[in-house]
Amino acid sequence: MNRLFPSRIRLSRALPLLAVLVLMLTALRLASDATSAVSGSGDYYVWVIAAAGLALLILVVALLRRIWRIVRALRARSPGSRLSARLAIVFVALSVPPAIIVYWFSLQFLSDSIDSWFDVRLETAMEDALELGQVYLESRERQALDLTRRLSRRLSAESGTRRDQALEDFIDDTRARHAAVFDSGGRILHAATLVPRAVIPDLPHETVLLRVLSGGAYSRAEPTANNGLRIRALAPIPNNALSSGSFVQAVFAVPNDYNDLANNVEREYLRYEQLGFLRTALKQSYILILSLVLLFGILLAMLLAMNTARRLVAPIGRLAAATEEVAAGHYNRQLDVPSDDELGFLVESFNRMTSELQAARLDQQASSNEIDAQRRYLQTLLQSLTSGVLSLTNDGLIRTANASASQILSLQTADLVGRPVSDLAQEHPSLQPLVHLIEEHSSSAEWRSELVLNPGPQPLVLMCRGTLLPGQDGGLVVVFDDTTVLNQAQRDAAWGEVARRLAHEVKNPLTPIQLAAERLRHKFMARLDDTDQQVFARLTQTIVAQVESLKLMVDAFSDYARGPRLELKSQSLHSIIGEAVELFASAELSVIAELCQPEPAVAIDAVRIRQLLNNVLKNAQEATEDTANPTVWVKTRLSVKADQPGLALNVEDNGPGLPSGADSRLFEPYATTKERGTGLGLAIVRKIVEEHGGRVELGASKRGGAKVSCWFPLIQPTDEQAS
Amino acid sequence: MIEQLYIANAIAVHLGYLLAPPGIPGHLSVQSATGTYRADRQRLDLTIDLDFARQVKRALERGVPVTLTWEARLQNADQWWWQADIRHAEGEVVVRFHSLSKHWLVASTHGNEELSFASRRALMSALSRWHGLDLGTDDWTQLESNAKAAVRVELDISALPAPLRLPAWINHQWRMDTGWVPITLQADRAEAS
Repeated sequence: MNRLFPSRIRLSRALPLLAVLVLMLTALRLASDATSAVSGSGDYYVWVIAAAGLALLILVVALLRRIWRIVRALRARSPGSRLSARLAIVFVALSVPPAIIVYWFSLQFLSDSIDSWFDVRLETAMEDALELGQVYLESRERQALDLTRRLSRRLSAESGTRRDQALEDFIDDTRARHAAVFDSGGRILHAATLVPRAVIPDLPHETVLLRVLSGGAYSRAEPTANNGLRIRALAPIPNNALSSGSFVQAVFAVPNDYNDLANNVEREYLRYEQLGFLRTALKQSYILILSLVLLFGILLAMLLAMNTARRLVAPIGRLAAATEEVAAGHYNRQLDVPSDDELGFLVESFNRMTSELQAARLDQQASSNEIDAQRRYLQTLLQSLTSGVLSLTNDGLIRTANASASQILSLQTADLVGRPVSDLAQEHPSLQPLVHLIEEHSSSAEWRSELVLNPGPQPLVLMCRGTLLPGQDGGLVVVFDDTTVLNQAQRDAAWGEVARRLAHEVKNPLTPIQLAAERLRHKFMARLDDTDQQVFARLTQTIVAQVESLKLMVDAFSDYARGPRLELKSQSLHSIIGEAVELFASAELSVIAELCQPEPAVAIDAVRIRQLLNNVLKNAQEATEDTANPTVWVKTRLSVKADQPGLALNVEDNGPGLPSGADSRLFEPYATTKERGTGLGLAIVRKIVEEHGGRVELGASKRGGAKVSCWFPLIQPTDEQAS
Repeated sequence: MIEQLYIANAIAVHLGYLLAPPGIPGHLSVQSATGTYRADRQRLDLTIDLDFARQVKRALERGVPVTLTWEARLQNADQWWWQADIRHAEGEVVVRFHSLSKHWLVASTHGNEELSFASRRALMSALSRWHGLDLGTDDWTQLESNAKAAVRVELDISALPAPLRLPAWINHQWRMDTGWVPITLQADRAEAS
């Protein structure tokens, strides 16, 4: 099937050429036949004309196809189409006018030439020559008629064989070729010929015979079969008894010299006359031939013009199309070099340019890939950093923020990137210190500062470092770490050290002090009067009581300072809660336990949890001392924090609640709202919870009092347990 | 001005081909066509009604020879057209004017002699009867039982001088054709008698 297409293409190209050939041959054939009176091509003349018409049609169709292609290309705005159309128009404009001018002058020339054939003097001469010949013939006709009449008169007087003799004598005397006597029916009665056994010619037409039979005579020159002339004369034989209605016919030859001359005159005259008659038709034929040639020339010129324009513009069109492809980013486009001229040089330059562009593009792509890899590496690095990193432009626009920054600031990355840093302060007031810090150090080359944010119940301690980036578009990089836990650990360690020293340094002298005070009382009490005894007893009692108080405080410090020697095991928290509730529930305080079922498994140290519950419930008991219907609620429930399941233990009361701003501070050692508190109860609670891997928060209860929320992680089931 | 006249003339000449007035047409028809087998040859006798159109007469008088062709065929009506011809014969009659002797000359392919006529009336009278046209040696009545014979006479435009052919193709006055006319085939008179 594919092989058919080239054949079709070749056929479509060959047809116009074939048409041109046919037109040319037709024109030549017609031109050669134009002036011939009789042509050998007469039988197929109509086919020649039809072939010319078909060839013209093919050429016109081919031309219309080319024009349609150009129009279609123009409409489609194909590359090079406009240039091709312009070139075709220019070529046609250059080639058609000369053809028309040549056609025009050829017509004029031919018309003048044909007219010049018909000269008036020549025509007169021809007519005179013919007339001369005719005059001569007429004289010969009259002479022949006289002789024939003379013969007829003699024949009327003769009869029988004497008539034959009269005819013979006539032939001898006049050198006539034939002489014969006919009856009224046209039968030969007597005859004589100059040449023996010569054929007696047919009688003339019956109209002539009628005239002769009615008494008239006839004498006319006649052409013969061998292009000669003869004179036939007929005369009636006067009536006699022997032959009524008979007549004599004599045929005379015209001299050969005259015959030749007369034939020449006749032939040329007829030729001239024929040409005169054909003058208009001849002009029409020449106009037809010239028109064919003109059409052939114009159509061929137009076809060649379009083909030439197409061939000239084709490389430019391909170049334009390739340029568009290059503009669209296809740099690997290469064109075939059409020739070694300027166009070829242009195409070669184009190919070189695209090659270089392609190479540059590959280089740029490689660089881009490298940059991308670096960027990805940097991003991965930034994302893996535990420190928060923010980069800002000189205008204060946040360019990048890593995951740690989002996590520390509790914001989505999308809320940070691409926004002015000042917007953060407006939308998140808790971040104002950070924003102010950044704005304050926006022009500092390098800075370091610690600040505390209060985004929630827990304060957030950030250690911030900033560095100006070099370059015109440098901007600023801020790196910050959440040091809240670190600070807490440091404080806890410090407090532990303080507590241990305090317990060690203070507790040791307390017992001798207490013993000394009791010995003083025992030894000197009896020696004093009543008044002094009372004073002495009160003073020693005060010493002993204060020492007891100091012992309690030191024990508390000792508990706080004690290291994490936990014995964690899975045991029921609810049963420990039940014991505590039992211990604290009384007529003055109602303790309500709301425990979730089934009880989840947690790993706890029962002693420390009991201590935790004692501290918390004791705080609640003391807080509700002045409250009507003092009540404490102890609740447990399943809770998930940071995707980790756990058990939440909430203790609420209906006391006066916490003073404002004291929520998290109360977990610090030596922080208390009570007049006689050590300030270590909640600190120990926090320590116990954290030792269990949990968290603790202090807040307000819905019932108006305080709320302590503890959270313990559940025991993670092993694979076997899970299955 | 001269160029404009030439343009007008050229256009008029071209249009003349297409818009030429029909003029007074001539007439050519076969009145009778009789085929007879005599003297060992099949002969055809035609009676023709012939009258040349004015332009044809003018052409004749100006020395243009005019050719009339005749064509006779015997066809089997049951066969396809390309297989139908059983016998076929043709000939022509050329008429011309001899201006010196003012005679009309008639030459035909079926007769070696050239007839001359002193007047056009005599010429036309002679041309109305074509006697003894030779159709060959076979007796057409004996060839096929269901065969049909026909004759056609026409003015041969292709025999005209070349410049005159194209106008003649277009001009109605030159288009003279009898079409196919059935020939009445008769048995040999001698045998019949």
